[in-house]
Amino acid sequence: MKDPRMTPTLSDERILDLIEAYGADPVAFPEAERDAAVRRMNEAPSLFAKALDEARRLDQFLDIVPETEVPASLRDSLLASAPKPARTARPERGLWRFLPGWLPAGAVASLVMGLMIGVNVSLPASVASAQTTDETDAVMYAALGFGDLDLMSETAE
Amino acid sequence: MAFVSDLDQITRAAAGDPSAVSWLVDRYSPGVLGLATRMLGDRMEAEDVTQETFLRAWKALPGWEPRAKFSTWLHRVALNLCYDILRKRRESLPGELPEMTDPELTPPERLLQTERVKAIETAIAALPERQAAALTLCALQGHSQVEAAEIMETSEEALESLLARARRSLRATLAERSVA
Repeated sequence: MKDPRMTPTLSDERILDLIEAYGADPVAFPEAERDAAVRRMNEAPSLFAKALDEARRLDQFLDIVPETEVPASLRDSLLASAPKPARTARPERGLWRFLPGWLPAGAVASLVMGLMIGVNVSLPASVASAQTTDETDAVMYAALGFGDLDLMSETAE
Repeated sequence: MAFVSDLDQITRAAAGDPSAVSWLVDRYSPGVLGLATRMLGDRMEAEDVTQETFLRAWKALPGWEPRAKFSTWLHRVALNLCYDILRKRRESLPGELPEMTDPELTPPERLLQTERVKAIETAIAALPERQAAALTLCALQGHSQVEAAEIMETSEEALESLLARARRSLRATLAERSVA
């Protein structure tokens, strides 16, 4: 509770101005002047009776104006124009954004298939090559020029 | 119920959270539509203003910085759109004032509530635009002086002057029509 002695006093003219502008209910007065105005109006009610009566009649008139109801069609329209939830898309950077969305999945599938085919083909090949290692080595050495050494050594023997 | 700030909702709405979007629409669209309706006196135009205001809000959400209250910003956008429409009206109809007189208006004791509401809405829409805005924001929508002054980009003293003149005009208009 505010100490009334701390509330500044208002002139009667100022109080009449407040009633003229804000109506009869002091709740509508500016907060800084409200308490002083109420105190003075209680001290000398007859000074303000006429002004309060006129203001009260207009206040009652204004009070019957109902709050505006927003029609459903307008509400729907306002909601429809509102921001939509953002998609939970992955960040698209670099060249990927220009490629179709199925491409990464296709690339992974191709890689897996390629690896499987590679394993299946390479296993029999390596078994077969093990049987011919000596012949293959001889051809390789000869191709590289080392075959001559063997021939020379054989000739020397 | 947990307190959810405007900023929380704005952040979530910017990410497309449908519940936050609904929250913002339900919280603020009545005020924006109400302001535009009182300013323009035309429901269809007021709905267009509301739509455009929210479109701008949705665009602003991702970079939103809470320097001003969202509500203040939103109402300011709506108000400026209304000012644009009113200016175009003046340019297209030079010298014409908004229609405000209805000689066939029924006397107050026979008026139904809806007719009284219509009468006051017509009277508000006929006020000079800044007076109508000040009255709507403070007297009808309950914005504080500080908020209303921010929305209207004016001083609190100027707002008070607008309010006083608006109420005087309204009283005179309604008395003339034997409504108040």
